[in-house]
Amino acid sequence: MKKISLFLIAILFMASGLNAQTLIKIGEETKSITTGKRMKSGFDGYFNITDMGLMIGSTDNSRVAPFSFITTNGLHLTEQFSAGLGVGVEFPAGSYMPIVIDLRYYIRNTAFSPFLSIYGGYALPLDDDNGYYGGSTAWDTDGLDSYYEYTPYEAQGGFILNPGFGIRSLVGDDFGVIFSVGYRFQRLYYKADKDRQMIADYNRLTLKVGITFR
Amino acid sequence: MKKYIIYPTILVIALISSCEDRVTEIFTGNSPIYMSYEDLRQSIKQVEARDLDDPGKLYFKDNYIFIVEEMQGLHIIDNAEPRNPVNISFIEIPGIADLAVKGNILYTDSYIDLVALDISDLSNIHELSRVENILPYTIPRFNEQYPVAMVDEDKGVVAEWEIKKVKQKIENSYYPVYRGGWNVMAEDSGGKVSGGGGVSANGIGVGGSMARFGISENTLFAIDNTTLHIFSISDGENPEFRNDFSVGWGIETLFILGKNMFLGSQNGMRIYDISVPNSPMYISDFWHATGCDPVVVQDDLAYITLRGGNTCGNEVNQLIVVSIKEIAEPEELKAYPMEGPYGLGIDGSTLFICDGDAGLKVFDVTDPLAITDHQLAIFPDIFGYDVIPVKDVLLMIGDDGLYQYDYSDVTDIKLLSKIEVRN
Repeated sequence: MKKISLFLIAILFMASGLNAQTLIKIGEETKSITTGKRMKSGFDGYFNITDMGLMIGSTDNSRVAPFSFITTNGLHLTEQFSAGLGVGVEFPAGSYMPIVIDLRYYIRNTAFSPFLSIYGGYALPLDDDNGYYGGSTAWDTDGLDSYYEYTPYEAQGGFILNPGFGIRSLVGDDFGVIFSVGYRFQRLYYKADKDRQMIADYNRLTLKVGITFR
Repeated sequence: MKKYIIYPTILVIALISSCEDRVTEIFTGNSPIYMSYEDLRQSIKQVEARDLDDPGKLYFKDNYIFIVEEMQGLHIIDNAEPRNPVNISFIEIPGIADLAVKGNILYTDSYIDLVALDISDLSNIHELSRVENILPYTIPRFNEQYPVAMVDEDKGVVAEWEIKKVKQKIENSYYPVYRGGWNVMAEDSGGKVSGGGGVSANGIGVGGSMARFGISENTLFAIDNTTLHIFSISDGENPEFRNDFSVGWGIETLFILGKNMFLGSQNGMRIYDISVPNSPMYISDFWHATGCDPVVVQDDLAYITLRGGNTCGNEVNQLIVVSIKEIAEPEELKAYPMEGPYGLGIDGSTLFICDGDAGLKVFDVTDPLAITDHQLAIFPDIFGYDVIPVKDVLLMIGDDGLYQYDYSDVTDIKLLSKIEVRN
């Protein structure tokens, strides 16, 4: 319940961020951005990026393409460099709330610009039971029958690191769309009884679309 | 513009194919120590007699008692004088769980192999042949306080376990997989026993009610939890695999009487006609509460014990008497409460039941509707697993040894001897 409450608070925080940024006028020299003409990117301004997409992996994986949603609020530290704090919800194996620090470098300070990004942080579990099967072999007491034992692991959360690149295309003074591709490494920890633990390393390709407000 | 699309697309495709998850489990558990298949097939040898340590299945032929030392080998007891049985030899047979004997050839399992041994000369027991990789993969007992690491069957069989930190990669699809179990062999439990000294070239031995192998004429049957494995032993020295036959789920014991085979399962008794041994024909089922349930049959009556608890299902502990006069429609005559019965055996009107902590019980079953009213004897201090009543001598294997009783006078059953288990 505490985790769910935390998640709801985070959602409220995100929503307030969206409202706030629409009220802020960033950049005094914003011009016809659709033409790609040089413009001030509002380096001292607040921004929000809200994106969603899939974390795609091999078809051999238990979940081939779980969903990811992250909203990031931050500041442009320079014209081309931004830093923000993101929260969201993802479902790599069960439900998690990622809390990440997001760093982006825009290669051009124009309305249409590629960028490099990296974000990393920690994923908090939202479910106690992530429905994950432990895999050790169980045998009956006479040692003659075997089967895979169901071990109800409790999710402990884990680390996220997601470098990538993408394109930002501004279509208005305060609005733009973002496409990004990245590599996601995520290590999630699970714990069962005694000293039994499980570590799940996810290697995924992230494909995301999003919107940005400036 | 194109380069911003084409290059990432190529990269995406390349990356996706290599994006595999890796799930690792870490725990302190039973880690396997393997014996290679090559070593396994060179491992059977006869050695000096050794003390009973972890006795399992019991088998009797002629004047000899064979006692399985779980997964280790086979004790041979010269029982020419039941008052003074002599432990004469031990055969190291890794992975043994049960046995059956026809003539002077002993059939046993060695992990995944069926092995034929020549026992015509008990001082020179040797392997005649084996059918390789035909029985289910089994493991030795493990420390139940700890989980068990995954077993790589390509590395060989599990000879033993060691408790250590285990770190293992596990697959992503963790849906329970039942690999099928295996136990032992029985024999034609209702067969006649030949007399005389030594292991004769004729006749079929007698196993207990917990047996999973059976011999009927020239066919050896072996069951695991789901499958009846059928071997021809027409050429006794060279058993040949004939067929695998699906017999349901949770099969535990096998009893052959004449042309009928009675399989004890966790949910009932299943009856097959084995007139055509390579293709048993289903006759009927008798369903009961879930439990561990050996079966013995005599004439028109089947005696089934149910034991509950642990892996055996619910808490029902009973002796059930079933009429098989109409074998296509077995009918329960009466059920009697028991404490926690294991094996049982019958000889004429005398029924022997290893009733767990309640001890060994002996009943007169002349009136199958009033069996518990005719209890002949009880030995409350004996925790027995299985019995073989043969020629007025009851062989009983328990947790502390092999007992032999003289029941020629059922009103005065006397202990003849005991071979202790080493502590």
